[in-house]
Amino acid sequence: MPPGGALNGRMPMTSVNGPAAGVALPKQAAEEVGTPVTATWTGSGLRLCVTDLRKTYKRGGVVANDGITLEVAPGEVYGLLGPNGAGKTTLVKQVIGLLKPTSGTIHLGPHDLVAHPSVARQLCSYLPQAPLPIDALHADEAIELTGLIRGGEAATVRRRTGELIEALQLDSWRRSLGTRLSGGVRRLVGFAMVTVSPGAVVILDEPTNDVDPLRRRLLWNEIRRLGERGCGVVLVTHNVLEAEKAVDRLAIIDHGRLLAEGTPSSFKVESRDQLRLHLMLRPDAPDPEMPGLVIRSSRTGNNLVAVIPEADAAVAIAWARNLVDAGTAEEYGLGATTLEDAYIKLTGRASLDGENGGS
Amino acid sequence: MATVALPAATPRLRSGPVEWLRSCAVMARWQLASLRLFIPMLAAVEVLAGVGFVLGFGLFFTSRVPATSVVYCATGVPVITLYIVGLVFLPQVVGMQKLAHTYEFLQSEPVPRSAGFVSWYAMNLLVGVPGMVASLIAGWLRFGVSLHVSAAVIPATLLVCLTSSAIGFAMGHAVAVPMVSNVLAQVLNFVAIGFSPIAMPAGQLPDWLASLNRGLPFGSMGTIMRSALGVATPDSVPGAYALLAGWTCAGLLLAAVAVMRRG
Repeated sequence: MPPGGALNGRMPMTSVNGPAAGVALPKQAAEEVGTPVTATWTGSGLRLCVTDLRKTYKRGGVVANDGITLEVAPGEVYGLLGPNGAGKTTLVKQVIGLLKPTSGTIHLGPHDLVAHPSVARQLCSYLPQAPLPIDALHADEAIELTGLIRGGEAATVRRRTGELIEALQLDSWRRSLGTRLSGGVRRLVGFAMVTVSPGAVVILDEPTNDVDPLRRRLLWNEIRRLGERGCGVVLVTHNVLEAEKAVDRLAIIDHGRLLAEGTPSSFKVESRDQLRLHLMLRPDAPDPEMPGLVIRSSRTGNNLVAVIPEADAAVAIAWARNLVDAGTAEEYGLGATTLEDAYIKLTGRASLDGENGGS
Repeated sequence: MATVALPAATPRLRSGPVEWLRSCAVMARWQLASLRLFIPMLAAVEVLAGVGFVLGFGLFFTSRVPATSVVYCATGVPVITLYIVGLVFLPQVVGMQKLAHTYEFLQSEPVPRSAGFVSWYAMNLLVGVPGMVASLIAGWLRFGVSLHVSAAVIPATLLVCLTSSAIGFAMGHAVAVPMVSNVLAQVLNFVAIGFSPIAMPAGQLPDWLASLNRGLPFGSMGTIMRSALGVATPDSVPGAYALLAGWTCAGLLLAAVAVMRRG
């Protein structure tokens, strides 16, 4: 959506000015590679280097990736954030060798993954967003067989399967057929399948879809553990708030272009003296008139989020209270700005999480 | 920041014949497990269809069934039971994988593409051979056909399954729209059963259809099977083997192009 465009069919309320200070721009990506990360991996490993990647689909001529450059270090959890159609899945499909780039290079250590897609499949594990074909398989069987397919030794795969089942609390479904698993449990089994014998790079496309909040925490723990054992983890997600806590670095992609890249903290540098005011509007309430102190705002459903200067907090609270008293809003809350605010500023859209009211 | 030194997660690159055999074996396990709900049913349907075809064949005739027809039925129906899994069921399953969006996950698995084909071939044999044996027994019991089974039945069975699997594999992977590959498979099956010299002599077909069939694989499947079962055949048996080998190579080539193609 272009800046200033309609937001979920409502009047535009978001202003987009450009990337925040402190956030690495694409041209600065090479300098950003050396940014210290919080990953605990200290050994050797293979670095994923994507350089000036372009992908134009022959059918329709859609430019899905437009000059993307990024690197993922061994042990690093790297988030790819962006709205639907931003080009995230196209990007990872090129890394795994399912799609061929129009131009650009993808290297994993010394390996040219564009020239050798079979090497890409061996060195990268991929959890697609789509369901996995496990209807007729028992959960533990699906995990073990995938581990063997990925080249794991039988004893190691069996032990690791047990560890993952325990870590993700899947024991109740260990011998259940895929057809009897809920969507969330299937997703966790899928995660275990692709990580039981992980590649040097593990690509997870929306791994938490359908997963309940308790097991999401377990899943994030396991994702962090992948980093600890030296895997580079590429996490494709809409869920900005979860990504903020889980990733070492992230990139925001839209319209096939890498808009910004950096650590979660770096995205919030500009807004350190800002606060986010969250208003829960009454259903069908019109957009309230914004006071001049509001830096930018966005409305998704009944959730209105306004970014304000910290110094004007008292004025903003008074304004919000007036809206509650007038019946326009049901409640309000004031807190620190989040990655979601930077995401909105860059893309002009709330993430899915925001749409679900989780702002 | 805590630091934990763990073994490198960099997997070793695998290649060579031993790894290929290992990949074939584990993919066959995956295939059998993934289709475990269908395989018993499919094998039972194959047996019932083979036996039913033989028994039903006699109903076409009001008086005594001609000897030639009896022989072609008893030796042709086993061929049909052998090719159905590869030619019809295989492209349908690949089509279902595409519709269910599970195709890409399977394509991203780190095994040689050929291992996927070998696993299908193994399943074709597993499901097709019981139907073949059952239909041979039904022919013997119903019509009293005395067949002389030679060792050549083994290469004949293997090649019929291989050719049908290769063509089905190529259709499933090369045709982008699953509905099209499904219809194509059904049309081929229809042609093979009703309009090819598998279960009837070529002489009973119109000349143009008989000529067309000389280039298609179905008649040759019947020829090599009849020869292996001790039935004299007017067609060249080595020529039939060569034709089927050609179709197999063409199918595998097309399949290889399709599975290695990146969009």
